[in-house]
Amino acid sequence: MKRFHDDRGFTLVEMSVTVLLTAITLASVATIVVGLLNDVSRQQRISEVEGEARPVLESIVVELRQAKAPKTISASRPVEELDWDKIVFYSDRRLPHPAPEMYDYELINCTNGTDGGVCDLQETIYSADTSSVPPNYTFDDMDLVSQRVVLSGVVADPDLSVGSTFSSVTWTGDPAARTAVTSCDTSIPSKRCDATLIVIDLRVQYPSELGFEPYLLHEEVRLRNAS
Amino acid sequence: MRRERGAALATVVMLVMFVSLAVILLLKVATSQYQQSRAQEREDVVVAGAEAILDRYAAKLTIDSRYYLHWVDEAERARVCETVGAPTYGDVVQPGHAWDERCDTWSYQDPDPNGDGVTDWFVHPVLDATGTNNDIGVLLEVTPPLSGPVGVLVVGKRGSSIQRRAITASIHATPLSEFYRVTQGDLSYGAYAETFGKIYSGADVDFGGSTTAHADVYAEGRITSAPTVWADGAQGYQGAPSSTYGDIRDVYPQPLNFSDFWDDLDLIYQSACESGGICLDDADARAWRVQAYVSGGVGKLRIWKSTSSHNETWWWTNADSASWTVWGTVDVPRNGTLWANAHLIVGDQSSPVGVDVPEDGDSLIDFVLKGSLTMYAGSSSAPRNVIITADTFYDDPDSLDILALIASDEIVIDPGAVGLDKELTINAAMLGQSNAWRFAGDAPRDSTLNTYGSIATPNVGDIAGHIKYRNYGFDPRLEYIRPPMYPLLDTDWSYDDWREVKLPDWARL
Repeated sequence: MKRFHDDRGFTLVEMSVTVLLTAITLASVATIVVGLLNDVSRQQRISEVEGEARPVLESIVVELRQAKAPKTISASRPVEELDWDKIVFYSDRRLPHPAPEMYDYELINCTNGTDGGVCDLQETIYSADTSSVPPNYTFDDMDLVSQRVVLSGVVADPDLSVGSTFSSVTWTGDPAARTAVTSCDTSIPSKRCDATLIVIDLRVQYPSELGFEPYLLHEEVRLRNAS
Repeated sequence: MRRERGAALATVVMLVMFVSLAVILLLKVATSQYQQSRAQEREDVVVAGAEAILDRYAAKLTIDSRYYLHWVDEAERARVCETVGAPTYGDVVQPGHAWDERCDTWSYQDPDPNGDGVTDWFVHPVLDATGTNNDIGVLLEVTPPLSGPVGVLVVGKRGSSIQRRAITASIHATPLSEFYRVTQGDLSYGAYAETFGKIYSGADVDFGGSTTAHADVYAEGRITSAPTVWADGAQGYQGAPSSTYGDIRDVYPQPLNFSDFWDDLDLIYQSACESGGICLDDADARAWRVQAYVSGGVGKLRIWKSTSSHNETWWWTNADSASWTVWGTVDVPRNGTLWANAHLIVGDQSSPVGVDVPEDGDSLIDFVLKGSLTMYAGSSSAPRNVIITADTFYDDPDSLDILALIASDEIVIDPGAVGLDKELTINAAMLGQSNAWRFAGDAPRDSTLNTYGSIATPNVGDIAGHIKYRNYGFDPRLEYIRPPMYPLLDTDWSYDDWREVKLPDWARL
């Protein structure tokens, strides 16, 4: 009578081949799955970094676009001061106030100090003392509205060609050529901030384990209220 | 072996699920990033579209400084006249239609020209991308310059997106009339003088003791002696900046030059003679006389012509005794310009038309203007005078009505215009393009001259020697209202306060 079941076991060779093939298959699958999960994780972190930076830049752009010169004692300009790591300007965005506020965006805590590095971007807002006419814009008399770090991991360098965060543009010569202006200070007559186009290059560092170059957000803002 | 095949299937299914999940997550992240940047892009495009419409409105104001009184713009919401007493009070005017300029206050309705009950957004052909859902729709609101510059609010949206952005700006030109006094020579203000508008001198400015400047002072030379009080935030600017005064070049890149105004003055001629203004251009005319008055709530001008041959200075004091024939009676022109090829006499104290303004009360008929009017006499090749022979008033001094008197030669005041009350009041922006403004003789003893406006002449003139008391006031409306076609310091209108604002309630719907 024929047996319904073959009770003979696998040979050692068969078992060895089976285990080997299973191991290879599982290792491959695990590698793919782990790789995919890593990719998802990396993309999420990239998205987070970019998602944090975009609104900050957008806010600066809106404030800067409508910057206006306050009526101060000396000839004023919408932008009071500009350098590779700093911009100070007047804008009437937040407060129901007869005079514009002063906005100060500055890179602080840079890893290489005055040579830049990885920094925090700090926003400081002051409101003018309007008890006097014209409103007083000396820091001593201004009310601090808020001061906070709005973005971390900003990569910057004093060298314009490498990593200046703030700069401006004028057109000089005939025919006029676009010329970068790396710094200005309206309180100094010979260095007044006359440029009407401000350039912001916000380089944001990704988490180091990602090994990416900094993410660059570039905006050129024309000052609408500058003549 | 069949069971093993089932295990393999389960393994493959699980693997596929894993991979699918990972891909979905990756897609989700990528989509989120994409949507974020697309939203940003859409908002930037909406702002750019709204700004384009703002620029378009400013360009129209450059051509017609009272455009907002003449038209409801194509991109504007439907207007409702709110000026009580205006013939069109309560009327609704849809976008793209003419507006009654007697109505200088209004409210808004949502525009619905086709009457389907749905707000129609204006899509300019340049911003039209119908079918792609990328067209930029805009609506704007205009605030008339009753207490500041013309204000414009623009709301923009893109396609059917819910994203909307609103921007506002105050738009203003920089006409010569925004100065209280402009001259190329030295300016000197005696003790106790108060200056209320901006002052410009091509040379030096000097203030005596106990003086107050309420507005900025500009001197191409120096401010040799400062006012005792700089009030209302006024500042001084001079050619050689100092620790006390700013650099005039920071404000005006070039010195003001009267010869630069001739092109603008030619435009007044063209507007008057070729574009619907009043053109007084008869070869035999030696002088024209214009009397402004109000009849039936409408601003009127009665105009006479004289062909009497007299020398220039005769007209300064003898216009009343000249032989005049009525040229006609017309409404104040819609474009606000009048040009005369001969000397232009302003006002007729014994006119059969018009009234003696009650607050004046000198029993002489006054020049009373309803509407805006720039009257220009002569040209660069044939200079003529504007001779003032009556008090000039506005029918409604709080309205948008402005009078400008421009002589290609000089502005002359007939001392007989002072009248029995020994007081002459001139409300106008005045420009004597070639020389000065002057009294043609001595005013009666202890008389007073009151001016409310702007005075621009290359040379200073001699007023103080002919009339004892002088009150030079500034009409603050001239800071933001440009008389029709009045010469500009810059060719462009500019924004005073461009800003993004929260959406008005009507734009959220």
